[in-house]
Amino acid sequence: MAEALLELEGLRVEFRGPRGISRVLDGVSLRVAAGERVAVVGETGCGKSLTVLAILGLLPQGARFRGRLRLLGREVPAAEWGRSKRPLPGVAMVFQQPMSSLNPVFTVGDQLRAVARTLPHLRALPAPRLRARLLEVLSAVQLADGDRILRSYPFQLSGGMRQRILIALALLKEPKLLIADEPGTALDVTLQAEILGLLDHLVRTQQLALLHITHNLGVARATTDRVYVMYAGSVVEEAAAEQLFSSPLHPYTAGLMRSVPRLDGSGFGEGIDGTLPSYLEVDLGCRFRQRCTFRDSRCEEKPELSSPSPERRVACHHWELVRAAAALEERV
Amino acid sequence: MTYLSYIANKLGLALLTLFGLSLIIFLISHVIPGDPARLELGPLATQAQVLNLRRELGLNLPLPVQYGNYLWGLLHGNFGISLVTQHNVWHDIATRLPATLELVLAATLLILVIGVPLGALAARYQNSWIDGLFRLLSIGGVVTPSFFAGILLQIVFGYFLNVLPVSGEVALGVPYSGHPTGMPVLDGLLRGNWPLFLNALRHLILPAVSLALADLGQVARITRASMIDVSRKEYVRAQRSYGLSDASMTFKYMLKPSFIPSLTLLGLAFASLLGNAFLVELVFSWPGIASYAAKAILQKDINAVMGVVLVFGVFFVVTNFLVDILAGYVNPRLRLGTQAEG
Repeated sequence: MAEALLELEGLRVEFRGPRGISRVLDGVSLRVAAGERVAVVGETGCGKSLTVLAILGLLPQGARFRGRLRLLGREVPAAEWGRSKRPLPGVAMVFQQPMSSLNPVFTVGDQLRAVARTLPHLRALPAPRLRARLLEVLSAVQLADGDRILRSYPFQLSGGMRQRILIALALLKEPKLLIADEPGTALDVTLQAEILGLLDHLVRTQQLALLHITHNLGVARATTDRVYVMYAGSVVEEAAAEQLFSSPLHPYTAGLMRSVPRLDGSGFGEGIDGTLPSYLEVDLGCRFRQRCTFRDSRCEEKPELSSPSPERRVACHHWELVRAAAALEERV
Repeated sequence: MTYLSYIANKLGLALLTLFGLSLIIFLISHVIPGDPARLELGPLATQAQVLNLRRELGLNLPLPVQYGNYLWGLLHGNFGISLVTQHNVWHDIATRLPATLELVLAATLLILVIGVPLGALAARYQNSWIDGLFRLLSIGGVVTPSFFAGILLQIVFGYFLNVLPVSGEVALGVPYSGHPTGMPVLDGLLRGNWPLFLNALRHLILPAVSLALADLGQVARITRASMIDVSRKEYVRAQRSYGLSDASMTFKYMLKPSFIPSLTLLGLAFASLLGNAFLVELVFSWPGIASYAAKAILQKDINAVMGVVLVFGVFFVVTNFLVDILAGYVNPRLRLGTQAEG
């Protein structure tokens, strides 16, 4: 396996509210190798976006966090991530709302330059060379006519173009790791496919690693090497994309896959009964057990991540049963 | 649409408004009960004398013709003769207006230069003691009538501390000719006459502050509210995450989108500034248009009233035209035309 670029270990995030402490992330560990494409999937509210915010130093003021973060093998002190409000070197975020993530009253050029001025390798460039660099980045995200785009205000550009500009803003930093939180979900499917294709192209040509946050399993399968599945604030399963989709080991992963609407017209998918548990309740058992068909008395105890094979991890007491059931279903 | 055609468009609208304004002022002045000729001559004059004067003043002509004459006169700076001072109304106004203008402009400057950044700072330190103090002061400013604030300031700075003059525009000992603008602070600055400039500035501080206080509080509060609103926007979170400095976020990338409502409010505040200037001028014996206008209204000096109202109307329309131009600068969508939002 390639050198680890980013390692997050045992991230816990808690919020103190009027009705007590809610532990929203409970021991999330992630690892992204150089040049690797990793997806974090899970339903809305499972904590995947919060995990990213912690890495970016953008946790809300009231949040308390614990855990370790290593970047390129170097331990990052707690003051430099979590709530630091300061971006990590080498890590850049692609924002997902092309319609609302650009300042409406400044030109694209102004916004690109403002970001460039924060970057050590661009700060000292004389204006004409900076301009050339901006045009280069715009063409890297396949925006032709860069001159016009630099002069344009966001409202004069289409959603697809704005999403490309958001990617360009991230690329300015010349990052090693690109974090994309649901890129293109605000766009229609053909545009989304274009944006995902562009990200994939950039990852390949610029030797970037990609941490892709999505609730779309199809996207995760098509665009990544390795997948983390999150449920209710924890990672419940981790596997290479192909393995995960051919034989899910966690009942939640299996349920997610059965929930996807089918294009062959055979229905909406089954879904999973129940909803996410409240983060306020102190729960010593498996957080998925109320919705799980494999539940028994062992589930009152929290399952540790176990390794069925060297590259796989799953947090379930019954993963062997799940695999057997899936195999049986296949045969029927 | 370019910025230039946006401005041309707003200019056209402003001219149209001015035309409508002149028509309304003309009509209102003609429905007020009381015959100006009779008022002018007094109860002892004969009917023949009154008719004679009516003919002289053109009051016997049909209304549209009178309006035409009125408009023609306006375009030539002829506002008619004041029935009280027997001077050309335009001359009366022109000698008194600069002082009022100076006061109102100074108040506007204070609102912009102090009110807007103050609101931005309060939003930046939202819910801290700075914000608390700000809210107390701004509410205090909004609820204190300007003439009352003026009297308080006179007592504190004039009587107890005795550091600032409490009446007039320039001290008697300082020679001032009234040229070229009639605003002593500006004239002192333009001609490099520093004793005049400093003296006039010291006279200007208290009345300008009392006049500005209410709208300053209001503009600061609006700026604070809209900054807080903007600070929750996705693009602000995004820009912060790129590592933009706090100062450039607060005073550039958040202030500009937040400035649009403050600007609109400022345009409207002009009306109240002009109204309040009447009272402030009386409190500070300011040689502005207030006492002239008040006397004209009480004595039914119809030409003078029409002149004052028209000048204030023009003033108001012009400021709002300027506000529109500024709004176009701040909000590119206004000047470049809207396109369908996806």
